[in-house]
Amino acid sequence: MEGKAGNFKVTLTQHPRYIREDKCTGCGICVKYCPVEYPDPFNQAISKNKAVHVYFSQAIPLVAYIDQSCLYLKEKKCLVCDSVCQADAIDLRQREEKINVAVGAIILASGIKPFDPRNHAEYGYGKMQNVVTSMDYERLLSSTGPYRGEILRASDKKHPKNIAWIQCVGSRRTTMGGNSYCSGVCCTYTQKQVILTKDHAPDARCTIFHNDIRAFGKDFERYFQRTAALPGVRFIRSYVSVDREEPENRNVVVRYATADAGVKEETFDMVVLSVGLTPPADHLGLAQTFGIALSDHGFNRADPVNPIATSRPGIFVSGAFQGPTDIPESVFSASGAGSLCGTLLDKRRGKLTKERIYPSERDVAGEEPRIGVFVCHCGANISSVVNVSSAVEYALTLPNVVYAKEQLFSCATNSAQEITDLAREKGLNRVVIAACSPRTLEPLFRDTLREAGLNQYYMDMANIREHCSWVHSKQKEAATEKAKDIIRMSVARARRLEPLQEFDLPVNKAALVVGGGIAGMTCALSIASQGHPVHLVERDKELGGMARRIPTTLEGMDVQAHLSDLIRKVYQHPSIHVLHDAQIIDVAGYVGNFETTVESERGVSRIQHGAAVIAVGADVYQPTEYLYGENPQVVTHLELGERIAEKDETIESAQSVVMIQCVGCRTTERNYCSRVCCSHAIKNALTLKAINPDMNVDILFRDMRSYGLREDYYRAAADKGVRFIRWEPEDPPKVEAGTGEDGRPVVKVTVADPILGQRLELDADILSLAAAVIPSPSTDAIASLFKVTLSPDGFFKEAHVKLKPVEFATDGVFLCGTAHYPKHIQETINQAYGAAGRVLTLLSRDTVVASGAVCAVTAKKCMGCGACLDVCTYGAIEMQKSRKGDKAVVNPVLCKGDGLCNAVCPTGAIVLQHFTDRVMLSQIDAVSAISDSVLQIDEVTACD
Amino acid sequence: MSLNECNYITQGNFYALNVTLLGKRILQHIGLNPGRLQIEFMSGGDGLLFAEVVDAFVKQVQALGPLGKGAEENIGSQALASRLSSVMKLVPYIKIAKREKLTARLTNEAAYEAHFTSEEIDSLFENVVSYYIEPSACKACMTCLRRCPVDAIDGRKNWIHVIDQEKCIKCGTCLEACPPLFSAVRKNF
Repeated sequence: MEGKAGNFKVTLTQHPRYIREDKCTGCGICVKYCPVEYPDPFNQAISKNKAVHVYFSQAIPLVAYIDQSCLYLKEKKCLVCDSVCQADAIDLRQREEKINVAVGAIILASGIKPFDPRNHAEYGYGKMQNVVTSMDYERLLSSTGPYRGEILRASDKKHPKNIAWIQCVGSRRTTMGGNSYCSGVCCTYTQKQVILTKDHAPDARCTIFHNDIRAFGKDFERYFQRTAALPGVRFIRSYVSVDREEPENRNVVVRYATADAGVKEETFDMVVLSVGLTPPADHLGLAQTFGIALSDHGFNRADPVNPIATSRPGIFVSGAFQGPTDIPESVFSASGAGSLCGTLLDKRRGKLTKERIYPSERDVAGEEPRIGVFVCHCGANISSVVNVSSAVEYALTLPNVVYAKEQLFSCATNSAQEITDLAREKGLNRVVIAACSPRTLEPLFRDTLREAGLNQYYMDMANIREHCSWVHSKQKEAATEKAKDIIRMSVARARRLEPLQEFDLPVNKAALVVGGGIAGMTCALSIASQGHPVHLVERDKELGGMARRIPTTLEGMDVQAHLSDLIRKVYQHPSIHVLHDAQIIDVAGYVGNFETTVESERGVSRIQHGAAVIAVGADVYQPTEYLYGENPQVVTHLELGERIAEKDETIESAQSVVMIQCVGCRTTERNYCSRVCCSHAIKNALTLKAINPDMNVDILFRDMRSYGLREDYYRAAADKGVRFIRWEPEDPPKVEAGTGEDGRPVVKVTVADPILGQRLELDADILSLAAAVIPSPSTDAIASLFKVTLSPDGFFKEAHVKLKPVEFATDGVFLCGTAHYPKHIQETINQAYGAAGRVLTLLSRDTVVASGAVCAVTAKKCMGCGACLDVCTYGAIEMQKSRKGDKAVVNPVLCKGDGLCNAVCPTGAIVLQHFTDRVMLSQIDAVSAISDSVLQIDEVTACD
Repeated sequence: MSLNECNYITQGNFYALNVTLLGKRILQHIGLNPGRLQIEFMSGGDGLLFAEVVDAFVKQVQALGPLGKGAEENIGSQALASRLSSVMKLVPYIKIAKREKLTARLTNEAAYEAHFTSEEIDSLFENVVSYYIEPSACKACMTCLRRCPVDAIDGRKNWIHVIDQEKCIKCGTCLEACPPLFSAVRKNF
């Protein structure tokens, strides 16, 4: 790679696939005939695959590749794949290719490598057959895994009934070959594996050996409780070693230490090593090629104020190359990297795009249905089971079918062209594609119809692959009959289809950002730097939010310096309009076209905007426990940090500081972990130790959740003499005012230490409480104004926990910062850029498109009961007054077509177009060619 | 798997369950075996379970025989058609009467059975409401006539309105629409 930001030249080496990607349809016939079996890398080498195969079942593109174990590649023999491939896709003469690309920005999204325990004798992996890694186990659980979803032991292919998980394998270790950091994801993925194991075998016994349960993510605390409450599940806090294998049955004996019973031995059918995450395979080579600096651990060396940036301008990182991260963080850092590229390349936006022009649509409303049926062989995927010719003949006998034809691959470019041509030539006005699931190829075939000048909703797919040939491969005749049934139903449906129009609505190019903390400001700047006006609305008289109270981060970033820099940039940016002292009074409109009324220092303003970002932050819990507010020696972590920064005399001269964690959360009332407090405590402890190394600092904790790279600071604090004492929720610390031995006033803290098995009494000059992070008081009001929902804990609820972590179900409204869930500043910055990325995706378009398959109301039939309004998750339905009473009206831009409203509407006034009762019933009626009972019901339901 | 495990927030599966539970009781009410209707929840990865459930259900329905011809059913085709048709007609009424229960979120499997009881459904059908217009009170103002979602009200300006009971879906819109001054629409229990 050479060049600089905005103008990189990258040379890529493409290894040969030995398959012509444009011809391969992923049919898998070559895999069937290939004689070479080798260990399947995707299934962790537990099962075998062929030298030619598709990497995994959901691979994109769904195209095969040929591995080096191929007989032809090794000895110029065989070529059976070439002779069976009907798509002419095999090309064993392919060579390595060099590809030069010119790009403006680069994103490194290289992911992680799972830790390999093979060379660590203490785990027995690779030596004992029934010791597997969590990656192995993940494949065992999967229905596309080595045993098709059955959990089996390698030694005897029996179901294990007694399974142990060992946590922190390769993580939180300073021994050779281990990583000192916490991998952050293993506690929760293990719990998932336990729950799935119990789903597979309810009587299985599951034991998890752990050091702390780090359930710091959104909803993870509840997930942990759910796992722990399952019968036969034990969580044991202990270091363990895999001792030996019992020769007669290959069971695994594990040794572990317990507080009350000393060292114990226990035998398990299977042991799962919960392996951690390590930097991507060739991280050093990657760093060298791209000229970026790495941290000591081998991850990208983070810029504290922008974790997505690298040491080289124009090169960004997303996902776990930042350090161990979970899915939501990976997703928002990916979207954030997109936004940063956008800022860099904004001037070139849209320069390479081409508009497609379709022929004008033919009006066929007055015509009788003329249906064309195309039956796909899918190579041999369908035709090896279903008699395709017979299906074609049958289709021709169905009413309104004027043409039918078989195709080798309907999805191939030439076949799609053939459909377009034949539709014109034969005057077809409806098309049925009997092939695969509409999930993958419906957009392609709709496009084919548009090319033919037909409305794209005049197409239906009869799924004779997933629903037929793939699941009935052993019953060929019955499968052919079933394929005919499916085609008959599809034809019946096609007869009733109606043309639907998708329409475009203009998008207002401005954004509204609610909240002027780090999240809101970072997001606003990122949007504004890509040429969009931003209205930044702040409740307070000044910008900054909660970060104003945080002097530094654990990693040493000067928060106040960053904050003043951000504030200056926001005020100086010509496209950012800040409203202080502001309150939102009303939000009207929808995606692309909002109008929000704000009352602020400038009076009442009406803001037109296309998108909104909610970044209202969070608040801190005011403790009612542990003498807080009664005794001046009791403070919160936030206050302690502020007073340290102010060089407060009482703090600096303290002999002893005690901290209590989990104050106000991880309780029945607030059943979540506030995520940041463990690191917060460690940060304050390290600062105090730096001021006075002789100060006694004790941290009373339940689980230390210094996840990810923060683990190093936890270790540093322990090394510097900070004492960590664990307490159980049943026996929390007791606090009372008293005097020390020297007569000074102290807070006396008593805590039961489960390891020492005795009560400790600590005299504290300062007692600092890890007060919970709680939702901002404005959350409820903002939620109802923007019609978005809240999670059980009162934070804003994203559209999808993993895959849409910055979106809401309400289109055009986005989320970032602690309003979503407590998080660290770097995570907030990641998410703020992520939200900006999603906003830009919307605002950079001129229009939003509403699908045709949305709900519509027949006003006459609507009785105005509002049942539809109550069940619509997306706020797509409104009641409008008319002289005939209240009538429901659907906004097609917001409707997602889920049909919940149809189900509750008493009169059938609201219908989901493309899936109307008429269409669905005609399809269902065709299930059976002739049947009395269906006919009976038919008579009754013939009301349409 | 439990119903609230879906990561998408629409969670229509709760509603589907309610409609199924109601449907089973209605089948029972008209003398059909409720075993002809079944709902099971599973994830996209549960292919084997799906096959198992469908196979078992097909066997179960085959054992029951054709609709109305099951061991304890024994309903003639004519009678069956008329029962089905009368139920179909009451769908709007049932949806209104059971609106709350149809949108409930049942998280506990133990509560499924009791969500709709046989007695409840029997009484729902026994005590079907009807609406009529008291001719002496009707001022023939067209208000109810215009708002009726199914055009079940006959009449004209200055021509006393009458509800066609065959067409009426018992939604109560007319009762609500009739100006309180007249209160001509009456509800019969």
